[in-house]
Amino acid sequence: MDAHTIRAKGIGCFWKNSSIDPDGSSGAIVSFNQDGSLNLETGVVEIGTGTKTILAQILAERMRMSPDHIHVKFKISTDITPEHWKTVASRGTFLAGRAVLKAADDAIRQLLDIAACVLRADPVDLELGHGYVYARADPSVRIAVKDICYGYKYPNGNSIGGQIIGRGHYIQRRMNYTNPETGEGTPGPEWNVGAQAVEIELDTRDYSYKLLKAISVNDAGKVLNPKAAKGQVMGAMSMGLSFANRETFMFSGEGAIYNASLRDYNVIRYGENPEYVVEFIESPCLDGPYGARALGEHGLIAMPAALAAALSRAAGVQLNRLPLFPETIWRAKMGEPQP
Amino acid sequence: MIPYNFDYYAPATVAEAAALFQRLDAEGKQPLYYSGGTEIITIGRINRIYTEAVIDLKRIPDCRQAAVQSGKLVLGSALTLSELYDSRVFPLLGETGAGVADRTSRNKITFGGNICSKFIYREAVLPLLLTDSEVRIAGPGGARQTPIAEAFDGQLRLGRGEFVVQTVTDESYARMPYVTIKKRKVAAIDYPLVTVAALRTSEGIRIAFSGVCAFPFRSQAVERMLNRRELPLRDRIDQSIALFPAPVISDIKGSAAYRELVLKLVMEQTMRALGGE
Ligand SMILES: Cc1cc2nc3c(=O)[nH]c(=O)nc-3n(C[C@H](O)[C@H](O)[C@H](O)COP(=O)(O)OP(=O)(O)OC[C@H]3O[C@@H](n4cnc5c(N)ncnc54)[C@H](O)[C@@H]3O)c2cc1C
Repeated sequence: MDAHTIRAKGIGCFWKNSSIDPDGSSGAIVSFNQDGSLNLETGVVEIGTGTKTILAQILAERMRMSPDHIHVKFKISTDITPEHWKTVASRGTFLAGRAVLKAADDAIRQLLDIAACVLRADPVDLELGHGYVYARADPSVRIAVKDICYGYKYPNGNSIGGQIIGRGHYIQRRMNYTNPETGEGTPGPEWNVGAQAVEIELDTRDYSYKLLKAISVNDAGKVLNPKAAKGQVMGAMSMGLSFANRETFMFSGEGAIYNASLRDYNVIRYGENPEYVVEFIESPCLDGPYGARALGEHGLIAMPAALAAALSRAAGVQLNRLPLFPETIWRAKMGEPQP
Repeated sequence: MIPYNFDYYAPATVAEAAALFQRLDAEGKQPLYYSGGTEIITIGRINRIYTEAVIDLKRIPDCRQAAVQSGKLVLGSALTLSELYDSRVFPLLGETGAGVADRTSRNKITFGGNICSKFIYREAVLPLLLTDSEVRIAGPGGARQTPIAEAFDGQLRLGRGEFVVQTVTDESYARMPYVTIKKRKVAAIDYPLVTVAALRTSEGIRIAFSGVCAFPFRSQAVERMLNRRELPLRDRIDQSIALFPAPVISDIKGSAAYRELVLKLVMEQTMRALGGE
């Protein structure tokens, strides 16, 4: 750019497999209200990931209804809320999504059974959608969901059924422990991939640098909620850059932490972020809900490598230690030992 | 959580504050003057400061003053760094103060609190040093007005129970060309790796430093060297660093060697900006 400013780009790729306990399971309950609306209850803890929004979308899609008529239970009671193994490992949408689909199918089967009785039809000829159960070949033969979801009352008062409660769970198929000797095993299911790049501007006088632009392209399998997906990846990219560029604990010789508070443990703040570009490709994961793949953590992974590649190129020296403080780059350049 | 209880006093006058201090001190309450309170609260939480009584200075009108009186800029110690910046009355001070912490913290951090801070930076003192300002100090023994060069040697020398009421600066300084540059380790908000504030007067360039040595300072010897325009600028800079009153520090923000590299760049930039090459 000028005598002491260099612009450079670096690129990194990642793959990640969500290894969890082989028996880590997730459960879901969907229950009807009298007006035909639904309650959705899962053990996923909402920590800003938007997972519960996605689960409501998944349920609405399978029930062929509007997500507006789904009441998502945010609070979790460890007494009775169905277990969700842990809100970790980019497994929220995957595990709980599959559990919700199973719970939805359970509820649909119950709705069709009672509708079959009322409509005097074979349940396999019936379909759920838009607040009704109807005959696939003749939609005029139909009954409103709200008239059967709390049981059906015949004109003379005879009643059948009751409140419909669907339950579902999911556990990953054929997981096993890795062999401690060889590392062989199947600790997690699908592999997810992506590529990321960072553009920087380095000042070659003091090795300070600006983060100009960061790009991530992830295989999302299927983007279930574009804004949520973008937000997840962008947030993770910011964390990855923060980790690469400044986050670390510094220890004394005796192991005491020098920077034990946020005064000295710096994270990237709003004004310091580069321009973010987030794109997706979609190659469906056959086990995932509607083909979706894990997204939560993946936006972080290759950011340090991409940044290090860009800075290595700009500074003309191999940088393979994090974080990449300007002084770290200067030391590498001078051939000085790192502290 | 602050792991101890303390009483809170909000005196309305300078004399009341000083008298309160004396009484509470005699009662063994280990009183502290309390201005923005950010340091007392955050350091108190980790048990590095202890008190049983704080005396808030923010209700004392003198400590909140910002006025020009017969050519002198009078600034109260309880003005926040944000207020000093926003008012533009003394841009060198406002901008140097604006390098401290973040805006939200600066809405609380005060001028006096920064100067009397236990941390080694006290960046707001640099403009006072550059402008030969005076400090109005009050305490149980009465009030005094002292040149900053006498009152401040690395830190403000205050007698028991004394506190800063105001600073007094010749208004003409507020119109002189200045530079204030802060370099941090990596983040946009952090303590300084190097802070340099400088002023061009008719006699030459004045320069003061924070974050470089274990205390903020202005040095006549350093300034004399830097103003020797018969020598090349880089030589002057190298030689002036040898005249610093203490070694350049090494800490978690940076090693002495890297600090010195950054320091030289900032000094060069400063000198050039003020036409001192
Ligand atoms: C997030 C953060 C980042 C920071 N970054 C920087 C930085 O980059 N550079 C920098 O220089 N500082 C920095 N500081 C330190 C800050 O400037 C000091 O802690 C300052 O003391 C806070 O001012 P205050 O008004 O809140 O002080 P208080 O907590 O009210 O008081 C601090 C100390 O000063 C004494 N005191 C207060 N007012 C007076 C007075 N008028 N007369 C005599 N003694 C008095 C008190 O008794 C106490 O001991 C940072 C602080 C924070 C919280």
